[in-house]
Amino acid sequence: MAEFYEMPAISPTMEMGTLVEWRVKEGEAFTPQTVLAEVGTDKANMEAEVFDKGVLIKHLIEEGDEVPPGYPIAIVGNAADEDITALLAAFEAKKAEAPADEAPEAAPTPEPTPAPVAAKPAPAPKAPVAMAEKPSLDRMWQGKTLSADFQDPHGDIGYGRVQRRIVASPLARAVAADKGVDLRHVTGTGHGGRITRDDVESAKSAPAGGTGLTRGETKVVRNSPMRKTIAKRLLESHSDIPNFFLTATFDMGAFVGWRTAIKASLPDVRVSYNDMLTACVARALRAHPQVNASWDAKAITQHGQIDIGIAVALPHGLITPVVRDADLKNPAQIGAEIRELAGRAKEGKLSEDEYSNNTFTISNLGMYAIDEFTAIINPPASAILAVGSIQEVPVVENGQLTVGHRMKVTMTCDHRVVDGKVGAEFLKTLRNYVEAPALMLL
Amino acid sequence: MADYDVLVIGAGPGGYPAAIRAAQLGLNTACVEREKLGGVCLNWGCIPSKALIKSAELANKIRKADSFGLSVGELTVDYPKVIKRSRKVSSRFEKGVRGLFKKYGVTQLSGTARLTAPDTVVIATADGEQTVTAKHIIVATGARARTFPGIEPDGERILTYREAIVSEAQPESVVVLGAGAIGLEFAYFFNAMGTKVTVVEGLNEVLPLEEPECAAVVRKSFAKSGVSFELGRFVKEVRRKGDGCEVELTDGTLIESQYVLIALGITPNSQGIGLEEIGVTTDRGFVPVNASMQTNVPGVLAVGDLTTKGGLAHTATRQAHVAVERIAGEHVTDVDYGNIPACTYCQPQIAHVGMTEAQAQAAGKTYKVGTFPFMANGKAQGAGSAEGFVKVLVDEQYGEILGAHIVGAEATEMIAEFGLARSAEVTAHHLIETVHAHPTYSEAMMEAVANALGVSVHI
Repeated sequence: MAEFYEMPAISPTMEMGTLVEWRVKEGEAFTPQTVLAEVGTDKANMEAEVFDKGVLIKHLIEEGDEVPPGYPIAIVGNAADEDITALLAAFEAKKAEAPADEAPEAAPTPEPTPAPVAAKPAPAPKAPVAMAEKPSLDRMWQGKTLSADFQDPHGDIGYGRVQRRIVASPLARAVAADKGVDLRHVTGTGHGGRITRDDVESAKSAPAGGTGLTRGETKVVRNSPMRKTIAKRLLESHSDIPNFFLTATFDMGAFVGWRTAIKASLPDVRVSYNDMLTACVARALRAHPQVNASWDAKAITQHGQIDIGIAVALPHGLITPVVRDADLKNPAQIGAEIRELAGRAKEGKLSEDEYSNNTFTISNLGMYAIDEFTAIINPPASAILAVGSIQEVPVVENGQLTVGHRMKVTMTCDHRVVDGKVGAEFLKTLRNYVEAPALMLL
Repeated sequence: MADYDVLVIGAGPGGYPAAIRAAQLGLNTACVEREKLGGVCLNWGCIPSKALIKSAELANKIRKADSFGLSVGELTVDYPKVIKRSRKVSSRFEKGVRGLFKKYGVTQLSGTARLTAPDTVVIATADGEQTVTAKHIIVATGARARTFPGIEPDGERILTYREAIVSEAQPESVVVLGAGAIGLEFAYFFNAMGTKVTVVEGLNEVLPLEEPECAAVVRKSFAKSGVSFELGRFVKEVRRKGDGCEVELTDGTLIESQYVLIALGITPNSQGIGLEEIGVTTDRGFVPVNASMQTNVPGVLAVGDLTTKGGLAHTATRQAHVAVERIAGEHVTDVDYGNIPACTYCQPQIAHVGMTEAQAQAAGKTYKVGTFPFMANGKAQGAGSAEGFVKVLVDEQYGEILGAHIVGAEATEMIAEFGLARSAEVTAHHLIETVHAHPTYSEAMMEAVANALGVSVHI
């Protein structure tokens, strides 16, 4: 029987999904695990698979259309010539109710899962096929259905699912699900490598913290949508932007003294070197609008608002939450905001506008005792500042050998926007603020 | 250079499979047996007793023929013929083992073996002694009926299974000492043949290794068909009195009968075969072995009733497989001693695998109990055998079948499903999703599991 195939939800917070590409044409047959379409948000793309065989009868939306999760995007069935008039009528009714494909921004977000029927005043169904019906599980797998509504006890279906069959006893699967053991990483000792309960138990009791692999072991980590996005965007950035690097060494004596003074006088204020540096960068950007700018083929846009992205490492990736109007905030305010954003980033709860459209980026690996490094520009910003550690080093001052604090920064610049002189002048201003933080008061 | 790769001492259900499997795996193998191939199991135990029990079952069914609408007249028991039939069944199997030895090229040696070194055995026959050497020696000499001072067979009226199973003289009355599997099977047989039977058991319930509520079904059924029980009192002494016997219990009770059958467990055949001389450790006569059936002496292995982990023919057979396949370097999983079915073949039959409730509690398991009576099973009702029930213990967290207990007409045939479920780690949900043919006794197992999960529709 023909039925709707709906836009899967890529993440629990996803509001709209874009149909990036149809992979199966109208009238084409598919088998289990066929990718029907590539769908995505700005942050992630995902392949929408089917879990059964059938025929894609009709596309309901076009490539580039943006619809909410749960919205019908295609009609699938057993044969190409099935009667789908009832479904089409239902779809038209749905479109009239929420014209998502025409004006997605203005459309109210439809409920992905309808309220229980009892809660409604029993409306007479307009179409023979009620939109409220959920797709049957045994018919179709849809990302939304499995990842949000259905907890697969085996843990091998859903996000990052593997195609190969895992041979494990039912009891081993139950224990693994309970203990949170990923059966893909359990070595079975039964016949043909079948995983038994004992195997799961011993895998569970294996020394923790071992992200290292044993000799001879190969671990294949399927690329998450985030990892794919990181790869895609960084590759684009790296290959499309003609970049160059400016490295400078700052005398951090006064800067260290500044933080020491804050900590001594205001012990309740949490402020890190990076928070203070962000404030300095923001002030320096105010003086150099050519650096706080974006490229597109027609024009360079200089931004009056200074929005600084801060690279934050996540357990399986990275994200750059943005401190808006950073030049209007003091280091403590910036610090509090970064910690709040980073905390939510690690829980995967950042909304898209919290990590996009930065005008400048800072990536700081000083806490890992990295001397200096180069970073890849995070568009639409045109420059990124890679910050190394503050080190105590022997320095010569007035002909005397003494101990000083030094920090190296390397700025990657998009040469289309930031010329060498422009970048160097920006770094000179930044140096002024970092080496004489009292200037920040002016 | 040793004469053989593997020499097996004893051709019972531990020894003969060891020898055949070793030969199949390409090892040069010999097997020594002092009596009949097949050991106690084939010749004086498991197999002939099942033949006798079939006669008993038939006799009891014929007595109920009228309830099935059949008239067969008065039943007469031809006791010697019953015994002869069972002997015939045994000899057929004995020949079968002989044929298998020939087929797979196992050298059969007759005589009484004695170890003189970890790789050397002296075989004594009427014609003299023969010395053979082997790289691996598997001792599978089994066990015999256990006796105690004052409780000893005389070969005439005071018997063990060994004499009782071949005697063509039907006892008028018999006192069976011990209500384990052997005791109850003989009690069932004798009673069905028309012998007056009294069962004496020191514990308060029969079949002490079974779930007590299952054992009670057997006891009540026996009592209903005329078997007397003396429970909770031990035997002090067995004496001959005139042409018959007198049994004295610990509380002074005296029971007179024509015959006495001693069925108080088994004692290992570990003496006089050179084990101590070559340094093999024993524990109260039993031989401790590791997971690969090796004793403390390299090259000397032991399987079956002789070992501390034995006691049942199918345990011995599994141990034999593990021992030989490890010798041959094959991959084989350890014997799962927690998953060995135990069966008693009287009617109603009783069988279990895994834990009793008491054991589950002692192990700190949280479990759900499911039961299903054969009263509600169509096949059992049709067969007029609706006694008993299935009881399962299902682990509350994972649905593992912790233990299964069946008492009923076909219990011993049914228990295999639970054994498979446990060894393959099939959980309760998978078991009830397995379609069981209707009508079968087996449905009761599915229903009992469903009952544990609260989804049985027939109860």
